[in-house]
Amino acid sequence: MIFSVYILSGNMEHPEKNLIGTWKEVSWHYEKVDKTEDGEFFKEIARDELKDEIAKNLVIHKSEEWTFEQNADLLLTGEDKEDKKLNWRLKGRGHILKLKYDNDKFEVYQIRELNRNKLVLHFENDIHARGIVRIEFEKKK
Amino acid sequence: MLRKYSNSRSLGDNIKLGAMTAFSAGMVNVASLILFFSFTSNVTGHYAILAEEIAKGNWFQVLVVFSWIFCFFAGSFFSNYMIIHGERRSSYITHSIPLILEMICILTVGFYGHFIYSETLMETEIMVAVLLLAMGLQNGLTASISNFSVKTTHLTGLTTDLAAHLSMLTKKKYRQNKQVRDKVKLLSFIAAAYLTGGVIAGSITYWFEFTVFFVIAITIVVVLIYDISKIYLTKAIRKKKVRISVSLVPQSGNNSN
Repeated sequence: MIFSVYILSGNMEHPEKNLIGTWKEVSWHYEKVDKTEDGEFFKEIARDELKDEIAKNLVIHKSEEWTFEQNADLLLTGEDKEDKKLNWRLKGRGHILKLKYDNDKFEVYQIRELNRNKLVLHFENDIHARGIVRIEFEKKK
Repeated sequence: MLRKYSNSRSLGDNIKLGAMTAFSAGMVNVASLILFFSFTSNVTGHYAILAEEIAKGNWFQVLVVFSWIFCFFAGSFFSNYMIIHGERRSSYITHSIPLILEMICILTVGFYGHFIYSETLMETEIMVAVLLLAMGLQNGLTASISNFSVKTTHLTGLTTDLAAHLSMLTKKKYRQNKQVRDKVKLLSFIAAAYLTGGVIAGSITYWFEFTVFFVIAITIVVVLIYDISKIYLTKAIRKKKVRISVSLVPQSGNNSN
């Protein structure tokens, strides 16, 4: 057992360590109920009104770069918006991202994929694009 | 609730123990889901997650989920170990130890969460592990002392058993069987208590946050003190009866004159 833990520990990537740094939004997708003609469940959302409509009530609205700091601060920056500072925490087994703001408000995103270079978040949405929204990020070097 | 063992337990004993512990398990599970985004009273889902994480090669999560399952396993192992190796004559003490440990685990999470918790992932994972250990202790205890007829922290087996026994009631032969009727009653009480605990925790955890674990600890205390209070109450009643009967007996003084 100790041996297997030792083997595992060599290949482990700690979610908190992986998350720290600056992430740039690459794409937004929404889940389709049926597969598209090319066999994909997710359809890309163009950076237009639909994305704005989906995210308008969220704290992440119009953010393009997310900087996760070690002290649990999250800085959201975008070209046409003021910078926003929130608090981030991972929950569960590191598969839930909880963003706290304005003292008692929070939003929860599911982490579908997280490694040193890629972050994929999911959240549920029922405005226009009914279903699950997926945001993909890549880490800024 | 705790003193009797295996077949010497009555339906009432099992219902009381099952309902109280299922109530606390329901509360623990919902409170941990709200506070940690993780289930803590059952491990079926964790096995599925473990398999998924192995398939994905997420070794950190594999280790975390495996540790959680192991904590539940260790709790159940310890409870049963205590019961089969414990003194039969002091069954109350032997059976109380797992519950006392469970209460300590729950109170630890309550105190740590309320006063110290800074919401790091490691703290979350450890607290989930402690709660799984607590639920393992509880499930191991209730299952062992009731001859495996009371399991209170998960409802998969219970729902299957309840469905099977309810379907038996569609036949007259089984409707007349007291054992089948008693089993339906027991399982229904446990399911209802678990659900009630969950609903209450779901309603109060947003306001109480980690202090909800103090409320859960109180339900464990009730289970622990029930038997003691019953013993003292019976003794007190017996003493009173003796005193009354003594005072009613005509005094036979030395009237030798």
